[in-house]
Amino acid sequence: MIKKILMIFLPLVFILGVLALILFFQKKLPETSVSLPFVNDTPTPTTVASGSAAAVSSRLPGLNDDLTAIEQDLEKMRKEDTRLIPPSFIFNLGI
Amino acid sequence: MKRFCVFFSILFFLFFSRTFNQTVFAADKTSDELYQELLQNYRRYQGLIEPFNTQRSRHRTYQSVATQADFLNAAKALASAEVEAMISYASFVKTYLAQATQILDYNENYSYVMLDDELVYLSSAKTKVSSLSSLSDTQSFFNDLSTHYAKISQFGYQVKSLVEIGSAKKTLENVKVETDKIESLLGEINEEESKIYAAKEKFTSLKAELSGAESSVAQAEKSYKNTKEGSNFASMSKKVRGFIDQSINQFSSVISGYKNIVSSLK
Repeated sequence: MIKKILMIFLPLVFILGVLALILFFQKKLPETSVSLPFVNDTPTPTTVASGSAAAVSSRLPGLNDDLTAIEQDLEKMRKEDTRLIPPSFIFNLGI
Repeated sequence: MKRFCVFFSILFFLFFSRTFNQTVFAADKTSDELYQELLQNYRRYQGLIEPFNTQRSRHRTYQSVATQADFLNAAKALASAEVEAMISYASFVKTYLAQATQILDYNENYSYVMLDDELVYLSSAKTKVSSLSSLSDTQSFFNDLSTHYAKISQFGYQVKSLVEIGSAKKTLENVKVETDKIESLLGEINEEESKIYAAKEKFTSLKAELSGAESSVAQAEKSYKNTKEGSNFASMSKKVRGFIDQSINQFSSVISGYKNIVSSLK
């Protein structure tokens, strides 16, 4: 008897739980699938392997590329995004 | 019976996961599109300012029933356009915040939910405009709208500063990674050349400069965090921008120095 009740109620509890989760996250989570116009995917950390002078110089071009990518990010950051500054409105009828 | 229950549980789970993904992760418009919409709606609003001012002057001069009716209509048209433009602005800020939240890895759910609440208010205000039947009602409506717009503006400034600080912090992390790489490289070179000595010395001074940039970012963050409800958010945003500009100059100087070190090692 208990087993039968559990078999009916457990899926119900599960479904209600999923519904509750949906309602909770619907309110909290923002939309995705868009990207900011001014933030690049900046260089990722790479592990540094020790080695000879030849190995050192082989890592220099990659390092230079990373630094150039950061420079590009900085150029984007220099341009202030003024679009977020709120526009002004009239709130007074003036009578 | 057991199999039946399991089957339906899985079916429901799949159905709701799909609905969940569709509702939560689907963005209707990008921030750029919403900004274009804002520009259009704001232009429309600006176009209604002159007729509003004309009707106000007429009403002030004649104080007749006819001029009052015309002025009420002009005020209602202005209020309607104003609400439309505000909806576009709030939606733009919300989407922008959503993008920043995803990219810059910080949680700003509170602002996001609050913006949603403001959008709900604006939506009800939109329907309320048509029912305004007197100038005093319209003025009360504007007073209420003004309070809500002050909150929306606050979010606009907050999001602007948040994104600027977030970008600077991300850049700082990346510069630190590059600093570690260069330090490791310099540590591996054992040649006793004056060029290597000079590179190591330059690197030490650049590391100190990087601390300066880090402190500018920290000051920007402090200015942001110290701003409480009712503060001047426009002034906070300006202050934050000042610190961010300062950090950008410091970062640029450090990166240009690092590039010089790297090219000297080639």
